[in-house]
Formats: sequence, C-alpha cells, structure tokens
Amino acid sequence: MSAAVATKELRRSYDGREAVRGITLEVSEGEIFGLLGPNGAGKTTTLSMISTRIWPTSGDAWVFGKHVVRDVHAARRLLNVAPQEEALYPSLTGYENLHFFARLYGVPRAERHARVEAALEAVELSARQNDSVSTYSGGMRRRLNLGCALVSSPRLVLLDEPTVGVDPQSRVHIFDAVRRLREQGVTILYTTHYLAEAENLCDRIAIMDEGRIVALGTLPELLALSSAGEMVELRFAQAPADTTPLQALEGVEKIEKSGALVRIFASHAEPVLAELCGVRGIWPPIVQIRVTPISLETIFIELTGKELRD
Amino acid sequence: MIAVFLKDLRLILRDRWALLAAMLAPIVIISLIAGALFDSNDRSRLLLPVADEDLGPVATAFRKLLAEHADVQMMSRAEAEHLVRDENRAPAAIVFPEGLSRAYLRGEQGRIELLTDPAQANGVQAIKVLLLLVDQEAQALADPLSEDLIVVEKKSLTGSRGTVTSFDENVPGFTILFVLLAVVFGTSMALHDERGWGTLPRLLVAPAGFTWMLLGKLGARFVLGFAQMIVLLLWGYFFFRVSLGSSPSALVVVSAAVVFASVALGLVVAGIAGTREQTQPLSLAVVMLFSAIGGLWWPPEVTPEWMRSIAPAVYTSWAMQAMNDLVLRDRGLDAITWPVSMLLLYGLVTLVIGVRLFRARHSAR
Repeated sequence: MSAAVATKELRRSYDGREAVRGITLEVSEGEIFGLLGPNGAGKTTTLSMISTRIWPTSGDAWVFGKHVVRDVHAARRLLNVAPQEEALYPSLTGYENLHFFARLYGVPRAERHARVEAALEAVELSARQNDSVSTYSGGMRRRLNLGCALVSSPRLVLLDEPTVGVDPQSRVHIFDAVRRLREQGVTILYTTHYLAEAENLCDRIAIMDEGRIVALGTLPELLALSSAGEMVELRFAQAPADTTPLQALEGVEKIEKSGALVRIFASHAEPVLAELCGVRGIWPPIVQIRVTPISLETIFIELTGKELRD
Repeated sequence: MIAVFLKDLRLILRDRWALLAAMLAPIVIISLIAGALFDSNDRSRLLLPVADEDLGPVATAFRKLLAEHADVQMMSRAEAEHLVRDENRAPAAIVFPEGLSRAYLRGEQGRIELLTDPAQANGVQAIKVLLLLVDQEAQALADPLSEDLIVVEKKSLTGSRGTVTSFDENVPGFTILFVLLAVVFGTSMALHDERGWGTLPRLLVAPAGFTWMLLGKLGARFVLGFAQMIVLLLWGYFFFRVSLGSSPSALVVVSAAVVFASVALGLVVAGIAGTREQTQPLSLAVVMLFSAIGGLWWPPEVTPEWMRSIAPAVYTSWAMQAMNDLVLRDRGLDAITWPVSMLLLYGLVTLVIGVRLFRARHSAR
C-alpha cells in the first residue's frame, strides 16, 4: 500500500452498537482529505482508528503502509493528531506545551527549539509563546492545539473538527496553516461538519452518515452525482398527504419528503415554481419556498435525506 | 438556588460508583479502627519468652506468677534472644540466671535479666510493669518484711539504644502516612487530570507507547514523593531529635522502596476509579486501610491477632518494619533486605496490575 491512508472494511462497535460500518477509502500523499458528516456519523471514530487511538472491531487500516494494529509504533511515528477536545496543559506556556509534545514525539534535541518556533509561527502564536495557556482565548487554544500536532513534522496530520467553537479570525489562521501544510507535502485528514470548510479546503471529500461513506470524490465529482441543477425546498403549513403530483412536474428528478418539508430536485427551478401555482389547492398552504443551486449541501441532503447542522 | 441544589444532587446520584465509594469508605475505616482498638475478645496474651538457667525455687515461683498474666514460653537464652532480636515477635525476654535462687536463699542480692527490643516500647513497658507486680507478689509470699533482693537488669538486644522517645516511635509512621496520602492521591489525581485536560488521547498515540508514558508520569510522582519523605524525616531529625538510625544509605533505600510501592498503589486506584469523584473516596479508603493495618497509627502489638495476621498483605507493614529496624533498632542495610525486597515486590506486582487496569480503561483495545 503506497497511499498515505488506506482503510478496508473498517468497523468499530461500542457495546453492540456499530459506530463505523465498513469504511474503505484511500488518501493520497499530500492531499487534504475531508470526512464530512453530521455529529455521530462516525468521523471521529474513523479518525481514532487511523490514529491508533482505538482498535478496529474488524477490518484494516494502514498509514503509509504501516498497519495501525500490527505495526502500531511505526504508524505512530508517521502521524500526529489534533483531537476535537483541546489537549493542552493550561498551566504551561504555549512554548512549553509545544516543547513537551515535540519531545514526546521524538523530535531530536538539536531540532526541538527550531520545530517549536516553526509550529508557533505556523499557528501565529509566536507573540504569546511565553504566556500561560490558561490566559489564551478559545481560538488561540485551538490554534495551539493544532500547533502541537505539527511540531513533530508528521507526514500525516489528523485534524478532528479543528474549527469548532472558533472565532472567524482564528478559523482563517487555521485554514492558512492547513494550506501551508499541504504546500509542504503533508497529508491531512480533516473531519468537519461545516460544508464550507470541506468545499474550500479539501481536495477530496468523503460524505459520511451513520457510520458509512455515502459518497466520495472531489467537489465536482460529488456535484455531478446529482442530475438536478437546483433544489426547491417547500415548507408546508402541515405535512402533505401525497406528493405524487409533484413528481409529474416538468424537470423534476427526485422528491424527498420529511414531515412538512418537501425537497424537489430539478434540472431547473423556474418551471417547477411556475407549475406549482397550477397545482395549488390540493395541498396545505406553502409557508416558505427556498431555491438553492446544487451544492455540497444539496448533495448531502440528496444522499442522506438530512441537513448538516452546527 | 434550588436548581443548583437539584442539579448537584443529580450529578452525585448519576455517578453511582462514586456514591458507593463515598458511603463505603468511612464505614470500612470506622469498622477497622473499632476492630483494631476495641476488640478485646481477640486480644491475645503478651508473649513472654523465659530462659530459666537457675532452675531453683525462686525462678520457678516467678515463672508461675508470670504465667498468670502472660503467655510464658520456656526456652533457652539463645532461643529467647532470637525471638526478640531477630524475629521481633516478643518485646522482651526474661532470663533467670544460674545461682539466682542460691543467692536469694543466702540473703544476697540476685538479678533477673530483661532482654529487650526497644522498638516495641509498649510491650517492654508492659513486661516491666508485670515484673514489678510479680516481684511484689513474690515478696509477699516469701517474707513481706524482707529487703528487695532481686534487681532487674535491662539490656537492649537490638542496637545500642536503651530507650526510645515518643517522637522516635511516631515520626516514622506518620511520615509514611503523609507520604502515602500525598503519593496515592497525587498519582491517581494526576492521571485523571490528563483526562480532564484532554491530553490523554494525545499521549496515548505518542510513538513512545502507553506503558512508557505511564511510567514517565509515575516517575515524576516518585521523585516528588521521595523528596517529601526525605524532607519529613529530616524535619523530624532537626526539630524533634528523632533518630534516623546509623545508616543513611539504608534510610534512602527504604524511602525509595516505600514511595515506589505507594506510586504503584496510586496507579491501581486510578485504574479502578472511572472518574475524579470516584478517585477521592477510593484513595482515602485505601490510605486509611493501609495505614491502620500496616501499623502507621499504632504499634502492631496493640492490635488484635486477626489484624496482625493480615498485616503482611499490606506493604505498609513492611515499610514500618524496615523503618523500625533503622530508626529504633539502629540496624543497617543487611537488616532491611527482606522488608525492602517485599516492598519492591509489592510495588512491582501492583504496578503491573495498575498498568493493566489503566490500559483496560483508557487504551485502544
């Protein structure tokens, strides 16, 4: 296996409940690979198995060809992880935190200071390096959390929802740091439930839902999964009894109903909207209409029937 | 206020193990203390080795009177010395030397030898009182108007110290107790702190590996606990004139072994307790149990037989044995080989159990 990350039928159960249900994927070296999905989709569990934090119940995973269970120490030397929760020592300074993690991950003594300085620069915290972490803002702590994953110069960085709860300015800093890593040839596995992050940052995206990958590809490839061009979202005053007449409307590719919400995937929204006027009266009143061009969000909805929420 | 009260109550009730530990800890401790101090039914009689080299009527009369108050066991002088000096099973032995009766019957002063282990000060005191009592009874039987023809000659079998002070008796035990408190609480809490800070997952995937990470953490606690123990002993030496024995190197070895075993015990507590709330009562219960059974609060001879029989199961009893050998008996490295070996073995076994428990709770598997 020459891929940065490869998994084959990866599964993990907790107390009989399957959190990850047979994931197979390959991440190429140097790419930013996004795992996109709602909370509970199995993203963190997948990341944890790849990071060697937990063992798979079945299936296999490799990091640069090193098996995460059978060759765990070799795999660990190649990666670093920024967990979803901040993993920092609040009474140490930013510099001391980075220095500790550099040492923990085996950075040679001669290189340690330079690596710490580089990590501080990468997350733009050089000015506050000698301050105790307990005095940092939430965004600064998130950035330092990322810095701790970079300080060992790993070939693979696993970032678990690195921007959750982060202010816009820190979010931009984190994106910049991630992009710079890609320029340096570092492979990044990035979990998020923010569509915009996946769209703007990731080279390829795997959409996860209920422990499975429901789609995988580049953004254009994912968008091409839908034959529709636009999505018309109708919110009725109450759930309509029958949506069959909508299926007959011109250009309609697919219809999804969720309670009082009906989504129509069509090649063009305009004829659908025009014809909707003609069939009015046979359903409850429409209280809201939204037209959206096909995007990662609409693809996600089309594939999973769910919306991604923060 | 009611909302906070109800929320806190709910949080307390949610962690059932913490609640159970919090309820059980004081019950276990109180029961143990009550059992140790007030269980008069299980109190065995004082063991008193007696060597009768006189074989005359005076020694026989003394032996009979002593047997009414103590568990008198007849043996040779060498056996009696061995029992007191090497096995420390009796606080003192009495020797009736040859010619005691002859001298007494001639109206000359005779002597009884009291061979003591000053480290068992309470027991020695009890035997001295007993001898005084028996001497008075013997005089009353023989001739109430006679002069005091019997003198007791005391001789320490375990070092040069004839007597020990209350500080000498108590400071080593309380030093171990406070180190035990600090190390067990410190170690178990430090491991839960890693979880609280979120750093544990990052440590667990470090290339060094789980066991080395854990040993690194324990190493820091060991250094701190060792420094605490040495500082406490030096404090006792300079401010209370407590003897540190004649072998500083042996004291360092014992201190290191005690702290090692305590750190390992702290890891076991951290491995058993799932939450910080469970850690506190569990640590407290463990420290109290090990202190009471190990004889950190009171000398073993005042505890009931059942407690003395289970004492070797806790490492604190070995720690006290080693400290008493050094501080109260003025012994050196060779005398502490066995208790230190037991401390190290105990620490090693506990460490393996602790690592396994902690691994089962926190690692990947």
